[in-house]
Amino acid sequence: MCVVCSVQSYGVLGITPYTIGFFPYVTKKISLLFSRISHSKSAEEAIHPSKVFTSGSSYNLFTIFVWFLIILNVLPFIAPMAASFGWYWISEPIYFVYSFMCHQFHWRSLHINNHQVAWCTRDTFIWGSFLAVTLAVKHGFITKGLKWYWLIPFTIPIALDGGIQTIATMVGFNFNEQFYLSTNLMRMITGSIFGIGLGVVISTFLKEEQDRIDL
Amino acid sequence: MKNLPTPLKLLFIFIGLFVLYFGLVQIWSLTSPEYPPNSLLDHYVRNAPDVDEWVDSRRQHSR
Repeated sequence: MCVVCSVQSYGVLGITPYTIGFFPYVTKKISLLFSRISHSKSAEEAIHPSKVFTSGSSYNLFTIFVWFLIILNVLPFIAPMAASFGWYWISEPIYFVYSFMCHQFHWRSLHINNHQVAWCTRDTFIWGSFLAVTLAVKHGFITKGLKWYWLIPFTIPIALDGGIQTIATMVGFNFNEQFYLSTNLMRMITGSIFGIGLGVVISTFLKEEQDRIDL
Repeated sequence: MKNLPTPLKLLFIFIGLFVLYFGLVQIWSLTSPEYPPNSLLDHYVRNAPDVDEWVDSRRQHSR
């Protein structure tokens, strides 16, 4: 499953602090998916996308996307709290699942109750800012989207900070000898900038698609 | 609020995230006496990776 759109896997968009997939291809595919749902049957028989999951309610694909992001952002904070209470049957599956999305170095992560959050500071704020922008889009505070290439300026800070750190880690190998190591503050700043850019581009696009279908 | 230009709204979101960050570090500082942050601004733990017991005790997969 695509970690960004949560709709269908195309296997080309991997959002980590270090990689971005081929975005235009993905947006085109998502657009096709939306149109496929709405035009898969004749006009009389077509199931309206907003009623695919809960008939007659206000839930639609964009709302599901928002809830996916909310759950994605909340679970990493539940893990350390559960671990501190000794509820490892809750914390360990969360840590395990998030280990596929993040390196989980404890010295790059925030902590709660002496246990680290399930992903690093950078990821926390990439996805946190993505969620914040998506909520702003959902509630109509942000309506204008950006073209995909506007992601480039939003990506430069995280690419510099994370990229130089990765190179330094590979070169130094021993963590105490590498020539550059980012701080949590820098991870937060660069991650937030990237997440905001990502959110403005992707969420406004998805919202526009949903609104277009709802018309 | 809705009439503000989009860049300003994004700036407000960024400021909100900044406040959230300091809040989270404050929570970390208050709730984690065994593994506190170095400071509010620059608090990665520089020597932690070399201390095996620390790594083992903090890495959630090897509790």
